[in-house]
Amino acid sequence: MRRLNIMVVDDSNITIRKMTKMLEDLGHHVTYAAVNGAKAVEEYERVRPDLVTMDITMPDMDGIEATRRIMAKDENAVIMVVTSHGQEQMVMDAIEAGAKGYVLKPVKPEKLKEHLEAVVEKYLT
Amino acid sequence: MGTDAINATRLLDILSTRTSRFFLEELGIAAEEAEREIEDAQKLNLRSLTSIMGASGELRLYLAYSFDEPLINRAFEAYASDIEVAEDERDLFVEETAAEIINIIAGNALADYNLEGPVISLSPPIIISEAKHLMRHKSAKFSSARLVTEHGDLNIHLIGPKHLFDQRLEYKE
Repeated sequence: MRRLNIMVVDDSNITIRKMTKMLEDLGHHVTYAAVNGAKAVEEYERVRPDLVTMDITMPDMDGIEATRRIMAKDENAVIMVVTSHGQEQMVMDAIEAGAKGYVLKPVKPEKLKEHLEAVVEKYLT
Repeated sequence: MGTDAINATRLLDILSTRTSRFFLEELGIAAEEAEREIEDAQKLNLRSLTSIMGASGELRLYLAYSFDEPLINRAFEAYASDIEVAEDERDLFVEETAAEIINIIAGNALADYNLEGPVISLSPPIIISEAKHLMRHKSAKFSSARLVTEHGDLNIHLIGPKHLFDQRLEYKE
């Protein structure tokens, strides 16, 4: 898999750090980390990542709305949501908003790799 | 517990099981339920750090995970073992560990509780970093499970109905 420039969106700093470590261990580069959906939307066009990992449950602007707004800016944006198993409806809402895939918490490196590869193969090759 | 439809015993069963599994598999901490009160607890003891999520939909209540300080410190050390954390970040990251624990466990537990029911959504977690007591009055109902570990205790509280309380579990006027 080629090296991706990735934006990580999560309201938890510890989760951003853990996700960044996993992604960089997989050979990717985290170019920007946003602590809420509004910041992700604001910075998206400047950063222009290959892929966004998007938490769903966030204050101010949740991941579904942020996905919708980023897709409005860039219809080719590749967004992968990160959430818990019980939030299937939210995953479906995010997919409807334009997300291309999802990974369930707790996120593990092998699971993240598998989901990333699936999204990359379908949308980034 | 906020609505007649909620089965507090079943929800606590699921949360307790999920919590023990998460602590063992993700944090390497053995946790076992030692005590439970269903809907008739008169007082809740919030320990040194408490993470709270509000549930809406069928479950109109607050879920709270309340940690003894040594336990949440140990949980943080395990959860953050693969990353570097500066000393001045530690307090924030300990609080965020508590938030992530309830976020992950409660989110996954809803899948077990509400297999075919209507959507239940969860608010982002908030943290209370002070020990305090919450007395039961008005029409509030408290249910609680206490899990014990070698590093201290964790209480799982169900607090409802939700409309009686603000996000920090203070009674609304």
